[in-house]
Amino acid sequence: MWVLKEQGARFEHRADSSDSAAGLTVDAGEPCLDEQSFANEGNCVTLNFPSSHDGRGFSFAKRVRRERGEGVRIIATGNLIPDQARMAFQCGFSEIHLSDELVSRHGETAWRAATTVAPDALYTKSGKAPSIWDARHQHSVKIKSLTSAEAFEDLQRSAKGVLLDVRTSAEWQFVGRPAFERSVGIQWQTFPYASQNPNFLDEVADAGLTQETPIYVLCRSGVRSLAAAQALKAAGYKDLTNVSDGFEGAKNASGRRGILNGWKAAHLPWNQD
Amino acid sequence: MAAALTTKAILTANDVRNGDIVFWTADQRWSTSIDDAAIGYGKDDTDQLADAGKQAEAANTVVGAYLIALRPEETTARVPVKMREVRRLAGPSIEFAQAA
Amino acid sequence: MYQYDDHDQSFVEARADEFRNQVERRLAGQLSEDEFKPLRLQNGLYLQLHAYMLRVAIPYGELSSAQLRKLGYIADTYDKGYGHFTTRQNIQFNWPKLVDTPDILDHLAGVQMHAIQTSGNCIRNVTSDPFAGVAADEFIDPRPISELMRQWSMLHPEFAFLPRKFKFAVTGAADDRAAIKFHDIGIWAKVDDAGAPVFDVYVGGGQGRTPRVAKLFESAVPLPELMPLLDAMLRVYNLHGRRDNKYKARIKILVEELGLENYRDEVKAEVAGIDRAPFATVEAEYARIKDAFEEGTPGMTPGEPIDLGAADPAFSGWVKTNVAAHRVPGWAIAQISVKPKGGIPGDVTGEQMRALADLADTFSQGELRITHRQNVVFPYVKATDLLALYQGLAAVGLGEDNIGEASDIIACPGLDYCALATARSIPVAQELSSMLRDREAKDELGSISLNISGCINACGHHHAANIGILGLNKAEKESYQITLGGRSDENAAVGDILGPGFAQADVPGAVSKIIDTYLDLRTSTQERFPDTYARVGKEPFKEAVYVGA
Repeated sequence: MWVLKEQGARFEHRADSSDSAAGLTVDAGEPCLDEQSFANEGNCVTLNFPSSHDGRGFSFAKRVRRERGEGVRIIATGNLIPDQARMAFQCGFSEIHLSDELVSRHGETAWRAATTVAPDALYTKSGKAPSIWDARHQHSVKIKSLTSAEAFEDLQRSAKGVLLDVRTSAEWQFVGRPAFERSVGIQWQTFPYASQNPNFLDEVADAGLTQETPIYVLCRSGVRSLAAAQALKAAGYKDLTNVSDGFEGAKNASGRRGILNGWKAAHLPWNQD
Repeated sequence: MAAALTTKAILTANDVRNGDIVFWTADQRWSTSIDDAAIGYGKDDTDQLADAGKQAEAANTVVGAYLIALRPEETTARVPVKMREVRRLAGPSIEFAQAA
Repeated sequence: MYQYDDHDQSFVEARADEFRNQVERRLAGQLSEDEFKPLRLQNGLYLQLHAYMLRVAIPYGELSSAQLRKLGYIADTYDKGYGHFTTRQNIQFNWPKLVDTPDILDHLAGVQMHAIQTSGNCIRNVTSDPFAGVAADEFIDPRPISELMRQWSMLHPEFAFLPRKFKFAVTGAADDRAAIKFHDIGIWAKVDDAGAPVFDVYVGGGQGRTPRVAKLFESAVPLPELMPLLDAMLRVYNLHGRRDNKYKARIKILVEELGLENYRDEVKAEVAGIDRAPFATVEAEYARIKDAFEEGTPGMTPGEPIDLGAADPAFSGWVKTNVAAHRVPGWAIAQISVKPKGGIPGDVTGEQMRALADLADTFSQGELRITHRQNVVFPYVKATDLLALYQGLAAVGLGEDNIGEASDIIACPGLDYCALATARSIPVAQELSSMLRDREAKDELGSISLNISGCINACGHHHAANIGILGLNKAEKESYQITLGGRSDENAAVGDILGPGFAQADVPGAVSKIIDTYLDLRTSTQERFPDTYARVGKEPFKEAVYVGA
């Protein structure tokens, strides 16, 4: 049996599966959960998903979490797929217990990525932001946004500001990187496709960036950098700026980047490895 | 999932990557031409076809595999019993879009 | 129209990336088809009779010329050069490949579009009045609340795996052009005495095999209460809606089985305990969205009313049927019929999409709407430009003057495309359109709705039509059942079945007799078909069709 907790770091195999039936076990098919059954069963509820198509458990967890508060453990078991892990945590589940079969078929990477890859634009933390609009209020409005030219001007003026380039190593190598003294490259996703770098936050800390450092986050066109900035914000970093047009900028009418806007198009200094 | 038919049938599905209608052939591959479709006569044959469909679905080469029952009286022709299958094989009966 | 901000933009881009990853996992065998199906459906991708089909969302039917051009590009590049406007204001492409879909979603994201929740057992694209914001009879613009609901419902973690699909419609005008009473939840936006928005909420409407007109759940709900109420209505449905039988899984059945009062009690209890924190920003967000719409609305200087009658007869005929009253004097709402005589309802070629986009740039400030009747609306036309617009439309074969007439037929794709269909719809629509177009020219039929569905799921809205046609499979032959007296407006009603079905070849004859009977029995040219029907009942029609034969 595998146990998945919010944040992909907490994903582990356990030899003993007795824990997954802890406390009160309810099949999502049973429509009600009364106070009485909780009183007898203590502080743990296990909800079984009979199939990944059956979403009752999400509403169920939402109610249990609301009525029982943060103290109760709510465990999901049964047939979930990685793409539903975020939904489960957002609805109030604290753990997902997975069979070995589900983990081996979907792959450990997919399960780990399920809680870390999805950008905050799509999914936000447990229960508090169930919509685009709430996510907007939680995240975007508090992260400053500057064009590459404005950011470069700021960086030159500031003594501490750091340019954090979160593109992939392939992009650094083949597209080039900004020539600026205080810049750090830490991949948000790794090549070839969108697997999230699980050590992103650790690497940022290892590079000597503190929660007080003014950090200017840069990617290709401002999307990954916003996600990275949101992750940094969630981890307590306070002075964050998203470089909205990125290194290559948006695509122009004929689908080409590097012309319309972005670090390169603004003729800011850059070089190639 | 291919349900067993006991008379005369062929195995069809859609190609998982591009959605094309495909048919299972006597030499164990998928073809876009119904003329290549292997005809199963009787339960043993059609059970085998159904199994081939399940295996191909599991291997993710096709999606929605099922058997098409054919009119038994035409021994070599591949004419479905059901109207839906006749229409599926024939393609849309209309011109595409507005003939402007 | 609504303008995406960075957040909306990163959202659709991230979603396209997510789907690319899901397709890769599907092709690698990590996701089984059973697991992948709800994921692809929630990105609008079906497996239809012949191929995959991609349904792209046009939220509340609103579209820019740039977006329509992109749809034309997609039609030409990834499909067979055309698309189909649906009965829920969306567009669908009939021949995309699974492997191309992530690229198509990237193209869509580039013009602030997506295919999210256009299918699947989740909250579907919100539909609304195609005249929203410009209608002369409007109390309040329904688009800001529609957009707020879009943002609330999109990827809602709790409601992505409901018992069945869930459809919202919103209107804010006196005439209901959004058929709100045929939706799972219909919302009628109004303003209270102080000028603040309030919402009448209807629940349990729908078509399909058990057609129901929605019932009033609560009237005059103020804005801050609306979203918690909708959340609670959905939660009760998600927990208690039936999952054992997909034909009984819609909310209309839950409301019927529980009884409206019991359902209301359950919802009220849920609202009482609901966590209000997520809704604290509703009013601020509504205001932000409203501003975003206003920013995207062109300035309209009121003009003098002009006499359009004096011009050539073809043009004045078009004005009579296709032009609707605008809230600003001197401006007009132009409706463009995608129902040429003998044509395919709602089908447009890539070339026509580009032509419409160009005309919208010249004559409608670059904005268009798609209607649930599968037509196109230009919402911002200067009355003085109408003639030039008409000439431009006629030049590309889109000058048909039949909006609201019997030949303005709604039809689903039917058994020419759809995996669920039991009979074809399009060829029937084509034949009827040819016959009715000729009669309209000489008989002054006036406005009649005629809708065709190719199966009991009723995507062609046959229940809600004055004359409805339902295609069925009777012993492996197509058979068409006729219903009469349905209507989708504020006096919504489900049509009555006339009698035994007809073979395809006999449908035009039967419809013709129904029209003859109406013409005989109506008290004046002012009495509309459903009013005549309500007055005289089914019998005279039945007699004409079955006995007089």
